[in-house]
Amino acid sequence: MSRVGVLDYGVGNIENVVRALRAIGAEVTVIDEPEKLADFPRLVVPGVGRFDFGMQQLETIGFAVSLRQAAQRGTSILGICLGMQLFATSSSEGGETRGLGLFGGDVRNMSQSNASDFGERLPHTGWSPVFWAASGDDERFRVLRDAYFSHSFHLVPDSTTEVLATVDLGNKSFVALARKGTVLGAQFHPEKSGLGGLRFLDKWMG
Amino acid sequence: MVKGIQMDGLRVIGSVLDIAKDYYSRGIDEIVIIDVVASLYGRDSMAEIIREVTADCFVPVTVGGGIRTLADADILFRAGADKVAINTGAISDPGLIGNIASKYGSQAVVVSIQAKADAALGWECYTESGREPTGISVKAWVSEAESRGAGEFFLTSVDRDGTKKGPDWELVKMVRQLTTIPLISASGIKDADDVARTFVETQCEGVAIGSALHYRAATLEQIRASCRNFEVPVREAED
Repeated sequence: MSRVGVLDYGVGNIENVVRALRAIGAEVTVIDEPEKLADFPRLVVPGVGRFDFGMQQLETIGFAVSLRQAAQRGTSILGICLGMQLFATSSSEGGETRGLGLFGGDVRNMSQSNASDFGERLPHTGWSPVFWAASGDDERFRVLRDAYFSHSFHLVPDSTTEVLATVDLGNKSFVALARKGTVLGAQFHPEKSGLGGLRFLDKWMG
Repeated sequence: MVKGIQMDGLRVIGSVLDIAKDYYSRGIDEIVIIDVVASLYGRDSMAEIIREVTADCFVPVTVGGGIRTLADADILFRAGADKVAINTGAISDPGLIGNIASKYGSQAVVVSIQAKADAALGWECYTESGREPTGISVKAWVSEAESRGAGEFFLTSVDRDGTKKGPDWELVKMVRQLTTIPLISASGIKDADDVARTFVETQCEGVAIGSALHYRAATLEQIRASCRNFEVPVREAED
């Protein structure tokens, strides 16, 4: 089992991600300095909270630049929830804010997609079935049926970013798992998705 | 773990860690740990319990009981809580809801409501584990708590809690009409069918089960089977 660095950028609770990775036998280091990113073959960007605050933290600490460099080097990077949304080009959460640009696409409020007949309450909180894209060439992540979600915003990817799985809410479908190159983003929380979530992390660790 | 019957007459039913691990291994969706006598464990030992539970149980964990300040919540989040449930602390300082939500997000703030029927107020909010009336109507509090940033309501009927007489569907339906955020119905479940029927009758987003599970009146397997029977979507247990 190889080494993985989990970014601590002052957004929400990262400890549970660390525990889940340790539970599958990974050698986990919490990283709070951007210079250290280069030491790790795998990086996790966790996070709950607001996009604008999260992005500001990444910029201030210096993670934004070093994450883009890591992606260019082909480092395997996993974003979870807000961590995944920060990969986008921009978000409307907290005013239009530029993201890391590791994914193509924008983050939008789920209620704006069709407020009148949306049919579900926000935030989307709880367990939902995950639908795996039929065209996905990469089937190794298909190890969880249901995942735990907690979000009001969602990624609207462009054609450069592959959607590996979706989640249905009301009469709409949203991105659950997306990938561009070696960068993977999960809208759900694998660290809170029981045994299926641990299996998913295990597959990502390789 | 201490289980209250009508939020009074507390019984010790076993170690929190053992019970949480048992439910987790059988596919529980979320775990809610309420320290009903906040002074019983003390903040430090409660944090230690949360650390132990979250080291072994990889589902969302909500923690409540005696949270009066943001600093109290900080300790529990740092220990591994995904959400905190607040009642007395929020009623005495409604600003606490927004303070926690700004730091951890609304999804991390569960406002617990202990409701008791009252001739004048309709339903009245109680604090201190259902012992103290507040003079505040549930209707007024739901709207205030939501506007201050609550992410979920955890609704208990003080009259039904731990009685296994069945949930008060009228109360749950009324609160669901008043709010747009997810609602957890949290008291009175007597058997597996009660869980499924509560979803069907009230359209609530979640059902919390205490006594019925702890005293084996219903198993998770029976609850899942009943939900499928009533066509309530339910997660399959993982292998």
